Amino acid sequence: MADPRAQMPLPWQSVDVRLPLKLALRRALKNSGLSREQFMDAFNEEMDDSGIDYKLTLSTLEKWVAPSAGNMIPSYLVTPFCKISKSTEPLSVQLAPLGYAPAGPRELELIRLAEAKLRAKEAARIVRETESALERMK
Amino acid sequence: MSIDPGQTKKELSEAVAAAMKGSDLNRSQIADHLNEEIVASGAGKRVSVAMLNKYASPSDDTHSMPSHIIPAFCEITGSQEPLKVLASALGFSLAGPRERELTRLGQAQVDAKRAARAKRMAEAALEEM
Repeated sequence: MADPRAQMPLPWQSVDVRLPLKLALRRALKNSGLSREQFMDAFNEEMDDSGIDYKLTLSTLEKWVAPSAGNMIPSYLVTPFCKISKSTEPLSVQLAPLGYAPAGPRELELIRLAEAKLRAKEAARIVRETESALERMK
Repeated sequence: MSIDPGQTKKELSEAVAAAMKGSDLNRSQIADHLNEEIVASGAGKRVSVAMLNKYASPSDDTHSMPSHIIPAFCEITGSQEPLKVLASALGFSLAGPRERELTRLGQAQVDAKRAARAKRMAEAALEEM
């Protein structure tokens, strides 16, 4: 049986994101402008608002961002962490090993613009070639 | 922006289940490959088939795939869906290498247009002098 891993074109980078993720969470927390207690309170408020039965403690938060601790943030809680810290870095760290980056609304518009320009360039090339061909037929 | 971690958890479970279903590997092989990655990187706790089953169950409220396993899981199953779920929960899409180059091209177009307008304005100002 073919190993699907061999079929995926990967810009190779380790898929072990434990340390990069912890460091990204740590930076996001530090740059959030909130103290750890404030962050914890905001996180728990977000959980309450979402109807999630989860209570973040200061001790758990410390472990999530401590490189030496084995505790990892559950995947579905990365989203509120990013929202409260106003950082997409923890998400980016998870996407990077497979060659992806987050693209927001502005990036999607830039992609549309670039694709439209590429199509226009291709259309212009076809027009030039067709005009040349018609000229030669005169 | 409003987020819904409960919905993200559910969608992630569904994406994990779909990724395993679409993989050429069975759950036992996926667990073996994951453990190869995890043990090789010294990440400790092994993943069992029972754990994978729990991660793939939307009705399981107590288990969710740990964040650090997701890239390896996506690599092994060849599925981007779990990553898409995480990105879309924050309002993002996945941009691969082509999309990133298109973003650069689009930005260059915007910059070039701005530069052309600045050039026209400077030229007009110089004309008036």
